[in-house]
Amino acid sequence: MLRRPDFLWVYAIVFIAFLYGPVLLMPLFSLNDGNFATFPLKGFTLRHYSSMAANTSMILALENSLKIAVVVSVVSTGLGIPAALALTRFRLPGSRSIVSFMMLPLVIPSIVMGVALLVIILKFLGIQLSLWTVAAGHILICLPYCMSVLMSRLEGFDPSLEEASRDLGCNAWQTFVRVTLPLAMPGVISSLLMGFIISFDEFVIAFFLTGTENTLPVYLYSQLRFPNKLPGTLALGSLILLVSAVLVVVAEIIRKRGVQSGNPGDL
Amino acid sequence: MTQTAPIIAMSGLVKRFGTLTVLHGIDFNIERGEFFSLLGPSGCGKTTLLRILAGIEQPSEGALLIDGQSMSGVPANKRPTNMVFQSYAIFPHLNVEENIGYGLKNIAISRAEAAERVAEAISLVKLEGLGKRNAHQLSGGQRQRVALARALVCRPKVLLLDEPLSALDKKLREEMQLELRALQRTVGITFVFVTHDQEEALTLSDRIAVMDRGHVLQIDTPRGLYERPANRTVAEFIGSMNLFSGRVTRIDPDGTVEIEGAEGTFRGTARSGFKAGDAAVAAVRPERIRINAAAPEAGANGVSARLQASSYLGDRSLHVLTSTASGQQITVQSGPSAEDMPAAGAGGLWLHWPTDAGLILPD
Amino acid sequence: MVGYQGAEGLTSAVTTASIERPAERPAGPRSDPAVIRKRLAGFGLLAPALVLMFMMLALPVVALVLMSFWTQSGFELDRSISLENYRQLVAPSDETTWWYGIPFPLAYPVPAILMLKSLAMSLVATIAVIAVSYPMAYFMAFRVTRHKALWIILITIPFWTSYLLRVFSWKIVLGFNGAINSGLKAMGLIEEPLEFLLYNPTAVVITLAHAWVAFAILPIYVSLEKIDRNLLEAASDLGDSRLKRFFRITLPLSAPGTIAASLLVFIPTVGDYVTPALVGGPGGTMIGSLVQDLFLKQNNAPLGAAVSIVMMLIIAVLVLLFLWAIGYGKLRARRS
Repeated sequence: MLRRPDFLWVYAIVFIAFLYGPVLLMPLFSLNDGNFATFPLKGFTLRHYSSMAANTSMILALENSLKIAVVVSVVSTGLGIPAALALTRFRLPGSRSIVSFMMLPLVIPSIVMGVALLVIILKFLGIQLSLWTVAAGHILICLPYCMSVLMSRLEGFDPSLEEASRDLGCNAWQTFVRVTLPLAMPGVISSLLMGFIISFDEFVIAFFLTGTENTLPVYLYSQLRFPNKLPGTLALGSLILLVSAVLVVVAEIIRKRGVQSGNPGDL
Repeated sequence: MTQTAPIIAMSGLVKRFGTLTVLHGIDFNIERGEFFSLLGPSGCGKTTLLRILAGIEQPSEGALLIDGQSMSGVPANKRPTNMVFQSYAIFPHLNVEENIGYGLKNIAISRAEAAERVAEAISLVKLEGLGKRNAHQLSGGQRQRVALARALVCRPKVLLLDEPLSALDKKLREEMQLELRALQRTVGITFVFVTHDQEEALTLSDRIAVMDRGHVLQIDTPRGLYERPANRTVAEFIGSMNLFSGRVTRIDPDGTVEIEGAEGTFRGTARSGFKAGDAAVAAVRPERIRINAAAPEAGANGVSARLQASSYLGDRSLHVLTSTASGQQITVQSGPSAEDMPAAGAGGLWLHWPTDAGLILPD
Repeated sequence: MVGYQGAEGLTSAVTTASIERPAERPAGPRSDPAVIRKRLAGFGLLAPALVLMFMMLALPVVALVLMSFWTQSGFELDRSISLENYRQLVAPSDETTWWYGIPFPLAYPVPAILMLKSLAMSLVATIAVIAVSYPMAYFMAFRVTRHKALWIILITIPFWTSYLLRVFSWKIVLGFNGAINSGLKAMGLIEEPLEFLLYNPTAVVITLAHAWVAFAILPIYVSLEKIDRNLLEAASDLGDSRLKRFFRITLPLSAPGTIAASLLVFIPTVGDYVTPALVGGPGGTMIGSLVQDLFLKQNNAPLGAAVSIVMMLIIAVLVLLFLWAIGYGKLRARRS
């Protein structure tokens, strides 16, 4: 029985078009055989993509971004797992305030975190800016996201499963390895992927904290002001969008399957 | 429209969800001022039927009249019915008074009158002094009272109740049953009450419709359902019943029917017309069976059985036996005292019951 | 359900962070050694993340505050404590600068004007975001019956993809040689490109609204999805029409998610500088642009720090005022 399209259906379709339309122009023009992002389209080409292979500074920036994103996602998830466990499984006094504090980076403008980190790194600690400082800044903004993914996963299954494991003779560590971690695994994987995506796409903090080496978004930003570099920029942007979208879909599917297999009764 | 016409008339109500049919042609009437229950196991369609009465669901086919008016195309907010939801559906952002007065904002009455009616309803359900409480500060029983008052304050012609007592613990549920019955007598409104608890339905109702898999199996008074179940399903659902299957061998002119099966030959009264050779069951309530050491006289109902276990329940004892012939389990209820109990582990016992205690039902 | 739990965690975290902080009463007697041991273990697990957050969030903010009391003259950084930067932000002048008919009698009016402008632009963008996302969230919660997961993924993808690219895409749309102009020209509707499309506050607001809309839908969706359908049926049963029911039940019950969503959008956008830098032009600059400029171009980090601190304080005060007003409004509604 199909519901007849009504106002809200029309609205939803227009909305999706609004949400994706501008972004999808990027891959559209990146495949266009022209040097400007203009209509009418001139013809199909892949030359903007093939020329990227020769762009060494871009490849370097890509390598930097990948390195940072891997480190950041692993460290954030690694710190997030015990913290999420503590906040969901131990009745700690003041845990709500602690969660609020941990979630602060979500509501502080990135520029403030960027300049605050810049000040303490340069003026107080006297450390040189490098990819490491970028990674540190990224951990700060990834941690709240990783924590909320992990916490909702841990809250999503019955704690009595862990109590049953203790009852059957496992100690705390064995229970974690044999029950908690396997059940939380979808959350852990999606936390890793989300941490990776956020770090890989992050620009503002990287812009302030990077030294002589660029990350990919910083490189991209530097290219945006040169009109003659536009087609290459579009091709690069399209690839970044594609990779991010694929990772998001994978992360969501893993989490969904985890929810289904881990606890059928719970949504 | 005369006052004696039924308050609710249903004819041929069918409800389908996609390819699944949950109600197969419901036809019956509910009389004015009745306490009427829809009783059945979960998934039998009783809640769907109630929601069709409320206008929350629309029937796929069939006609529904409430107080003589066709309800076809009349949305829930325009119907002379109000509902008490199973979850109570207390609005969490409003306090007790605001919840109870919710529906009055949709009726053209003065603020003073509305306040008066809310106060009246609060005292009717014994919630005096709790008017300013928030929803989350209420106990389960109090929430149930708020839901009841909220529906009654609108003075519906029919009050619909969807398992309103199922979330309460046993003691509170029994208290509320009495209160609900008294309340219905006080306000005189027709109540349509959905439940899966046969004891609750028997306690509360004037009449009960027993439903199963989208069909109404029988509509009768509590006594009628218990003593004269129309078929095997009703017999099993209302109270407990021992059933012995067989085939009809004899039909007497006085309505007594005899069947023969693995456990023996049984005689009992029948409501429906049988002919020789029909499949049938002999049904007998546990409390109508007597345990004896000797076989019954020729022609009387009797089953040879072995005692498996007895349990003492204070006011009575229950005995579980197995038939010697087929191993079928038989439940017998006796008085609580020791002399009512046969010796444990004794073999070769006989179960007797009089012809008028046996019912012959179509199988 | 895909994305649902994550969004819920996020929302509840943000809502509790910014709206309510009830004192938690932990269960069990304080003196029970088992309870104490369990708590110590809990804090032990929490410690690495908490210490890191403290070192990387709390300490840098303290450093930023400290720096705002230093002064920069040329290449010299004076580390003595002074209020000079703050004085500079509010120092009066006889010469009044006018901006949209509002007088700014300040010697250095740029920060004050940009602050007000940023707040106004963010406010408009936030209102636009909520107005656009609420119907979409409503659609997803109440109209989508099949393939719900697909819709959620569709909304989630932009949520996680590059903010920089989402903003940049509007430059392609609105630019002098952009999609709209070249499209209209190709269709023969205009002769010359429309210059008013890009490099102005409107372009910034549109872009901000588009870039942040995905952040707002999920919290609103979660709060709508959580509404017990029985409550809506009860409202209808008690005589509400669909419209009345929306205003009496749906809207009030989705308020927490909607408020969280508006804060999630408003607070970060006030300080945004990517959007003004890419599509704002000279007329579309915001307070974030000034902070970035002071730190990276004018080499006046102390003044930049002071501007950042003042910005944070103003945002915090406004948010608290807003929440207080909402709470107050509810209280008043209760009484009547």
